[in-house]
Amino acid sequence: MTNSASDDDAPGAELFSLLDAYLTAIQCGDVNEQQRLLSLEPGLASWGNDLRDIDAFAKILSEPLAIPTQAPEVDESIRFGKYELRGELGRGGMGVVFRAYQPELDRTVALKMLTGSAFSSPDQRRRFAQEARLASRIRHPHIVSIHDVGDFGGQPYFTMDIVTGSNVALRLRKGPISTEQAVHWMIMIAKAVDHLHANGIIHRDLKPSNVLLDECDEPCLVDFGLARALDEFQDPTVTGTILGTPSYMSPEQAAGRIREITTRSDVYSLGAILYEMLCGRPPFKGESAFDTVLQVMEREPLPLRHWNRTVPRKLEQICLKCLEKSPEERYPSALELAHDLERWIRGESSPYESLSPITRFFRTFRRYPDAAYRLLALLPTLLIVVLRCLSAPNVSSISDYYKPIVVELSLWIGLSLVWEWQASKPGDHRWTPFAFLLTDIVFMTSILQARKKADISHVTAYALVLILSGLSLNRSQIWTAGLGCIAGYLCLLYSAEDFESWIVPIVMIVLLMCCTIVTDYQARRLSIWIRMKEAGQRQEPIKA
Amino acid sequence: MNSESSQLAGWLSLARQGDEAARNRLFEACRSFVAVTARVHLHRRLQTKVDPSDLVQQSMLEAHRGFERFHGQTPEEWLAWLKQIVQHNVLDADKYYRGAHRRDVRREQLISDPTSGRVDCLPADPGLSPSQLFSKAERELQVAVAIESLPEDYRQVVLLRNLERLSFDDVAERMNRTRGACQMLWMRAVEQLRAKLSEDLSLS
Repeated sequence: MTNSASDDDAPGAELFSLLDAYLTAIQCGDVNEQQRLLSLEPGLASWGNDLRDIDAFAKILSEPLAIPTQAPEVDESIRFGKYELRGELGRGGMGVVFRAYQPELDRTVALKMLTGSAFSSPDQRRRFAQEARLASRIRHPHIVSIHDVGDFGGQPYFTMDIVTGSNVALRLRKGPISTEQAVHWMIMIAKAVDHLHANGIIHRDLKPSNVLLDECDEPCLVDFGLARALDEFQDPTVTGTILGTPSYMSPEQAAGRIREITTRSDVYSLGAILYEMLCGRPPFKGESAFDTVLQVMEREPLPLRHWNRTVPRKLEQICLKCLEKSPEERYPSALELAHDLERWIRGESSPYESLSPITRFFRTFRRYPDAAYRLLALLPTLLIVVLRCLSAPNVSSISDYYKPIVVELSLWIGLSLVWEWQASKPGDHRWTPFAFLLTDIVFMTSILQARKKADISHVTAYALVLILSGLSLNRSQIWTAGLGCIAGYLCLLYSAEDFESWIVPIVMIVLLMCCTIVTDYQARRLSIWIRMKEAGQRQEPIKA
Repeated sequence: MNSESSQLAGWLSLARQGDEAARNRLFEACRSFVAVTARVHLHRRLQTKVDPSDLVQQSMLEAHRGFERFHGQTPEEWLAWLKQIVQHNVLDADKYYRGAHRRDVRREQLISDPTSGRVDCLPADPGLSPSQLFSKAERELQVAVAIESLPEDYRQVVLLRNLERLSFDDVAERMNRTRGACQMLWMRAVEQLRAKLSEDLSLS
């Protein structure tokens, strides 16, 4: 009712949607999206300043009540419970951090207020307080200590040590760091994480921006365990919205299987941080959070040496071991990771070095999924055809029939490997899915033609190709597949010998057409849903 | 802009020296600012319970009475101080309704929970420091004047979409109109706002 077509057709609808998207990008502070929209419609630039100035008032809402001002001398109102707030230190995933002075103890601490709807219910606030209290027992040189947890005016907060300095995310944005530095930091971080684990806390939100760097350039962990208070209540994409990108989440966490989150999930995140420190980018980074989640669950990270040739192979193996999909394949503990890194520094061999063939196989399979699935289907087919050929009593006539099929199957396999090889090379690869698709349709058609028939069963094969293309959620791929399949079917009809009536083929073509439209429609629906989910998502600036 | 900014600073310092006329001008110039601040807060929390104009009145009165206690120097500090007074009053009203009339407020939130449909994202990028936010005191006043001078329904749609950051589906629900109508209304409202902002709005 509210989404009637007339809304979209109204004059100025295009300008409206651009402007609305632009405002959303401004409100989210998503600079990349703003740039993208500006490149679509440069006229937006003149709106930008006004929209931003208006938005300044919106910030009143995101500031908690009794917010501090620049002027500490004003009056008692800058007091926040037993603290005096003296300026903002920064904003993070879950809230705002202030510099706060505590007169009773004459000390200055960092006070984090948790904002946003995530902590709106009393249940969530209680849960948060419980987690924070557990975390406040931790004392470790590389973990930021939590002092106090509370609730003032309905506003949950906690205080911790002030760490003056940068964090790993900011540091990486400035430029690459040396391998030695990265390993040195990771050993300290991993030992700190192990200390958390020993105290029964899983960090759950390890990422470069949660690793602060103090004056001596030593890493210090923050924000541990708190994510759990959120997990209970939210589906993973929403949690992703609050916690940032899923780039550092383990597959079990990204999939929202919160019951399966263990200390080995943190080991995964440590691996992702190490990966980014060495390569300048996280192991997985899709165009949207949803995309990233899919990659985290289904794809194999590219070897580190793909991005940075100077990474030693053994170090690469250590990092990839952390990033294993199955928790059992990762290091059993963060401490083991630290020990293995120390062994690497000393040049000793690691007990984890040898990979089982099964692990190797699955890694390769996931790294090149397009070719791998085709091999999985085509190699057995080829084998069956060859066996049939050899076992036939009347060899010559049968082999005449099967020879072209063997050749075609081999070509099909070969071309798939070529496309996959092309896709793994650096550069623009938007054409490779189309190459795969057309190869599939052409070879399938030509093999089916050997029977000189146009059966209904053949249409099923085309429909399968069509449905598989829907997985890409890419509309041009779906339409290429749809039209390609219809063209292939027409070729079959052309070469068919026992042709009876036009009725069946026409029905089949209409059927394929309908399949295409429905697949396309589904892809479109899902894309809209994804975009809606991510409308409010703050994307971290790309650190490439 | 600069001359205006020094104008505001001038009134402020004169008012602090006891100049009654300058003080009145200062307050007059900031009334819209107080009003928009109040509206934004009330929209979110207590819209159904408190009339924004009451809150503006009360806050302006308190600012007048407590003027001696304001020790800041710059227009930015002044606006931040005003904002605090409004926030305090909102907090008081909030406490009052949460305490004595808790159930009523809850029931009304159930009908239309103002937080439920928010485009929930973090404000600004982390690089933006408060000093940068407040460095355009003058501009903030201009924007506030422009918002206040909009017709009622225009102001409403700007408050909901720009300031409360609701999606248009929720805006439509809150305004009891179709989504399309709200979108048109918003476009016109933003265009009018821009026109007003581009006029050289003098403070006096």
